[in-house]
Amino acid sequence: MSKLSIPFKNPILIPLEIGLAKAELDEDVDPIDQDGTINILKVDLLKYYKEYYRKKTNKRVMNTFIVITKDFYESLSEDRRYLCDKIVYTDDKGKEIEFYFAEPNMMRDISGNDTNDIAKIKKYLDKIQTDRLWKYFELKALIFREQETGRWIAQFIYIRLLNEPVSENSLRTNNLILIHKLYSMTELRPVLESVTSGEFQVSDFPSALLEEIDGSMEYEFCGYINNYRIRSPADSFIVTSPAHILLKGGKSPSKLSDSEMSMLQDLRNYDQMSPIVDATRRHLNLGFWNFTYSAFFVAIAPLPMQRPRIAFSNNQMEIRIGCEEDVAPLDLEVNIIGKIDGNNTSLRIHDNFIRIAEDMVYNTNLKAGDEDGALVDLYYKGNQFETCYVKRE
Amino acid sequence: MFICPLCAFKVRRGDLELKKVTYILFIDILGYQELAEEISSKIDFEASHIRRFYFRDPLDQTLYKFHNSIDYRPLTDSFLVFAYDLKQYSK
Repeated sequence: MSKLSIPFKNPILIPLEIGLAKAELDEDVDPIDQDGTINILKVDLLKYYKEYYRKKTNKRVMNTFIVITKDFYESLSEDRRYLCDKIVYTDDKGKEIEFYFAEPNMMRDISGNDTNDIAKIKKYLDKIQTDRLWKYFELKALIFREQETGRWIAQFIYIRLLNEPVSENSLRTNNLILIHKLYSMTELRPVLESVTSGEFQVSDFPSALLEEIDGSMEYEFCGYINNYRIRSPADSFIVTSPAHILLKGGKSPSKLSDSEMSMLQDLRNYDQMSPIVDATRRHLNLGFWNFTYSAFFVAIAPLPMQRPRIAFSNNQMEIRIGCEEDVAPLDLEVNIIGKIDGNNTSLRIHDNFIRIAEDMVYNTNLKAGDEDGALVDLYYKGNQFETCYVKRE
Repeated sequence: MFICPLCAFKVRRGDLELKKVTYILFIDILGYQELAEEISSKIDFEASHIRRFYFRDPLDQTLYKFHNSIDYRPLTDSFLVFAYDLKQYSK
C-alpha cells in the first residue's frame, strides 16, 4: 500500500497514517456502520501519535507511520512484536496512554520476507543488548567480481562478537576481496540492518550485491547436546561455546565457481589445489569454509563460558562452569530432575550458582538417595544451554 | 455493539457480550489536501484529479484485491478496513 506513487518524472511515495486496533464485537454488529470506530482510531490513536511526534521532534509527521493499540500488539506473534516500539504518551490532562509504533516496512513487504528478516535482527539485537558481554565484533566477508557482468557479489558475511580487539587482515585482488574489519559494538545495528537492503558495503571496499544470500533470516540460541557438541547451526561454524546465532542462508556457490578462473589468476601464490579456500583460511582464519557451503550471512555471539563439568557420585552432585567475570552468578540456573531406570522421580531442584574464582559452581546433596541418575538442564538468562543425563557413579 | 479498542477506557468491557474478534485498520492519506495542492502547483494537473486518480483510486484498488477476506469502507480521504484473521497475512 505504501508503494502508491504518482507516475511523473520524479515519483513520490504518498505518506499514509495507519491505525490498527483489535475489538470484540457481537456477531450481529456490522462494524462498518460504526462511526465511533473512526473517531477512536483517528481522533485518539493517530492524534496521540502525531502529538507525541511533534513534542519529541518539534516537527509535523511527514512520513508513513503505523501505530497499534496495546490489544492489537498483544495479538501479534513474538517475532512480530520485535517490530514494534512501545510509546507511553501523556495527554494534556496527565493521562498516560500506551500504544505501539510499528515498523513501516511491514506494510510494504507483501511476501513477509523482509519483515521476517527485520524482526529476527531486532530479536538478536535484543538478546545481545540484554547480555552486554561483548565490546567489539569482527566482520569477515568474501566478495568476488562476477566474470560475466563485472558486478561485485557477496558470497558470505561472517560476524563474530568479541571481548578483545583483533588485528584486521584483508586481501584485495582485481576479482576477489577478502574483508576482515574490526568494529565497536555501536556499529553492529547498522551493519546487521544493511543486510536487508540488498547491497552490502564496507568502507574502502566496493559495494557488493546480496542476491546470493537470499534465504530467510533465522535466530537461534545454540547450546550443548549432552555435554558433547554444540547444536546446529552453530556447529557448522565451529563455534565451541553456547551462542546466539543470526543466520541467513543462500544459493549454492555456482556463481562463485563460474567466476573462479579470474580469481585463480589473482591468487598464484596460494595453494594450487584450492587457492580461494587457501586464501580464505590464511586471511580470514575460517577453517570451516570451503566450496560446499552455500552463500550465507551469519552473526555469532558466543557466551564467554566453557563446557560444564558435571559429577554425580554418592549423594553429591557438583556442576562447574568456567565463566569470564562478566557472567553473574544469578544469570545461571540449574534444573535437576531425579531418574530411576529412566523414569522421573519426585526429586526436583531449581537453583542458582555461586562464583568460586574462575568457575561458577553448583553443589548439592541429593538426599532422596534411590536415584540412579538425573536430568540436568542449565540456563543462561532463560536460554537453555545444556541438557544432559548424568549417571550416578 | 462496539468495544473501544483503546483498552476500554471509554467503554466498560463488562457491559457487553463479547463474541467476534475483529482487527480494525484506519488508513488515512497524510496531507490529502496540502500534498495534492503542492503537486498540482508543480504540474499542469488539477488537485482534485490528483486526489482521486493518484491518492484514492490506487489505494481503493489495492484494498479491493483483498475483498474476499476483508471488509472496507471508503471515506473522504481515508479507509476503514476490517479483517478477522491475522494468521493469513503473516508467515
